[in-house]
Amino acid sequence: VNGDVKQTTWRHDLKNHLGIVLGFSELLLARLDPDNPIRVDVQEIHLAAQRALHLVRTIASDDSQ
Amino acid sequence: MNRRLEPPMPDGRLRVLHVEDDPVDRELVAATLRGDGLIVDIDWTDTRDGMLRALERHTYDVILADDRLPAFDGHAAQVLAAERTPIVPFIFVSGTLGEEIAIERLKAGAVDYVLKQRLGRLPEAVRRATREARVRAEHARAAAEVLRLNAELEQRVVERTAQLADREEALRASEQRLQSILDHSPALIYVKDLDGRYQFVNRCFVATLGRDAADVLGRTDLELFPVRLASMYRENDAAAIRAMTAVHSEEPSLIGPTVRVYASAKFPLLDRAGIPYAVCGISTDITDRKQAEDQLKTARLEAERANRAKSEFLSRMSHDLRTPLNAILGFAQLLAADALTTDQQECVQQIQAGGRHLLDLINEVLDLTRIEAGYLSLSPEPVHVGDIAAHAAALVAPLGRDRGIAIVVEPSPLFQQSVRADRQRLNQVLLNLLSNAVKYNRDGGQVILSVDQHGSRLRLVVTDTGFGIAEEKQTLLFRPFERLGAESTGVEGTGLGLTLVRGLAEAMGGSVGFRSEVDRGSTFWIELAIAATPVATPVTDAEVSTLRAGTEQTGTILYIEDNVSNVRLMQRVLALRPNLTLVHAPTGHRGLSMARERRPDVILLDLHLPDVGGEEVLRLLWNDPALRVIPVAVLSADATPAHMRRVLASGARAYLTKPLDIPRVLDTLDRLLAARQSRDLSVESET
Repeated sequence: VNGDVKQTTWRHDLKNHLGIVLGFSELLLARLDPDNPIRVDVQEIHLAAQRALHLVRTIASDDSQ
Repeated sequence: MNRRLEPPMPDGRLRVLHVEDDPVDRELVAATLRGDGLIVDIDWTDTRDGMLRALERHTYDVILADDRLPAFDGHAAQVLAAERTPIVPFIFVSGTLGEEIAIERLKAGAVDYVLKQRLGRLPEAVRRATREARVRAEHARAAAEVLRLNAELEQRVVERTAQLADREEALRASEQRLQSILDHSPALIYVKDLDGRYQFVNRCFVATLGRDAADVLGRTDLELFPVRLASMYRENDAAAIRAMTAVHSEEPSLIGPTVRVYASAKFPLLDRAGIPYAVCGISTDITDRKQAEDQLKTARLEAERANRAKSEFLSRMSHDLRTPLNAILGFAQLLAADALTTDQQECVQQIQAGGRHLLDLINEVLDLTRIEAGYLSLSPEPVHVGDIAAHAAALVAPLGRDRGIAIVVEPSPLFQQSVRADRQRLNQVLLNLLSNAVKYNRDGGQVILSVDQHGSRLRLVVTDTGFGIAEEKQTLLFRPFERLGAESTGVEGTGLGLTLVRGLAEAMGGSVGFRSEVDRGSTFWIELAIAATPVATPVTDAEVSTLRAGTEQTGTILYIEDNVSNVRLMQRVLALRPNLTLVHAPTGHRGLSMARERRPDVILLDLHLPDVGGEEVLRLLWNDPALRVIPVAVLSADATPAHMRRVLASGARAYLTKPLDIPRVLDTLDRLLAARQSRDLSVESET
């Protein structure tokens, strides 16, 4: 899959779906009691999604590729 | 007045014109001549007109004239004769001609005069006159012949000279033309003798070298060029002479400080005996062409490099993204198993769906880059069509259930056949086609999976009752990331599915095709070669249970993994097996030393480690007899069959793909722990 257009589309799709993951994990955190033990798992998801988003943004800014 | 009015008189006969009025004198003269033995034909006249007519009618051998006539006179007759027939001898025959007049007449051209009183002299005078006239005529003819010959000779000399001049002119023109061609040729043209001395160079040669022709002619290459170049030129000259035909070569040259490249054609010049006496060369400057070629080559290499870089980049990014994605999917699986409210469950489902979609995006891009780079590894084998169709249909069926879409496998004896394909990839293709058929179907619609035979190939056909694809959009169907407007419909998709389907089908030696009608539905198919020998259906893996309650096995699990998120996930997974202890090593070296210290019951080994490769760790574990007995389960995102085989052959006992499927991880651990005592070295994998 070569070509900048394809890469752009791909990045766009990745961001979209990471957004969904981030959004629902935030929603879930809001709905869980502060002392609910599964909050940690949700936070892991949220953290991982943020890391992934950061990676995708790195690609986005790295247009020399 | 050289007219010849009639043939000359026969031998001996003389034709005589006698200008005389007196009949007696006429008779007397005729009688005198005949009496002396002359054979004569005589015409008489006594007028100017009569004389003119006679002269026009005949050529006379002699003209006789009286000096005094009633209507004419001898002198006028003499003038007329001199005008008309100057070579015919003119003799006066008169009774009265005085001495003075006679001399005058003789001066004017008369040959003789005979007095009537002495007519006996006449025959002799006529004889002499005609003889002399003949001699004169003979002389005149000879002189004329000489003149004619002279003229002819002169004419021939003139013609010959003209011919020579023409030939010389033609030769000069030809030479000039050749010189002009040579001089205006953009190529260097030169002739060297067998000693290598320049005999001829054209203008281009001189201009290119920046020397006078005189400075070049007679010199050799060694005197004009650097030694290395000169000897190359001489070798090529010699090659042409040896070959006795044109020899082509590329010759670099140093013109001032710049190197130019020439395409040279060299051929021997042959003498009449066919022996070479010189070598002629025509050298065209191809430096620019060479440079353009080089640039083109560089550009192509550059483009290839850029493409490769892009592929590698996408591939690397996909790998990098897997780590956080593993965490998302892993923790989401754990959450799904927890007791949650409906609200919370819905959030978790959305997270899982998003995660799965991200995984598809990454996997599909990876597959596409592999296909494009030509290093998609395949394991072709005969695949039973009925089994794989049933398997794929069963997997996709839940997708359509909510919307009332049924998946029907149309019975056919052809389903007993096998095709040559990579099982996993064919499954992927069918899942793609079937899930598209569900996704783009109308509620309550139908998906039919059937099989056709086309020669030596089988076609697996997926037909839907969806909305179809408009003709103008059909050409975009197999383009990557092209969703034909579906992105705004809420139907999930990466836009890579069909691109991948086609790539995979072609990589397996097959093809894909489709037809579609708006509002009626679409039909897609994959066509593959029928495999010669159908094989028995492999036994599918035992279904892995859901997160069931832990067995009571105890033990220590060493997890060699650098990513903290993955470690935390594994900790959470192993919380479901409270009797197991998890120890963690962040690097390969640390993992090896911990394996020696702790003697774990199972090692979970990630293949992407910061210090040494996981496969190297695997080799080191295997090479240590004390560690070899510890079962190793490898965790890898790079789940190609070839890789899996290689890792298992290196001593791993199980191969788990990332993102982790938690029930499978637990199941694998349970089995490896159970097999501990039996020292069962059999290999298992999750395929």
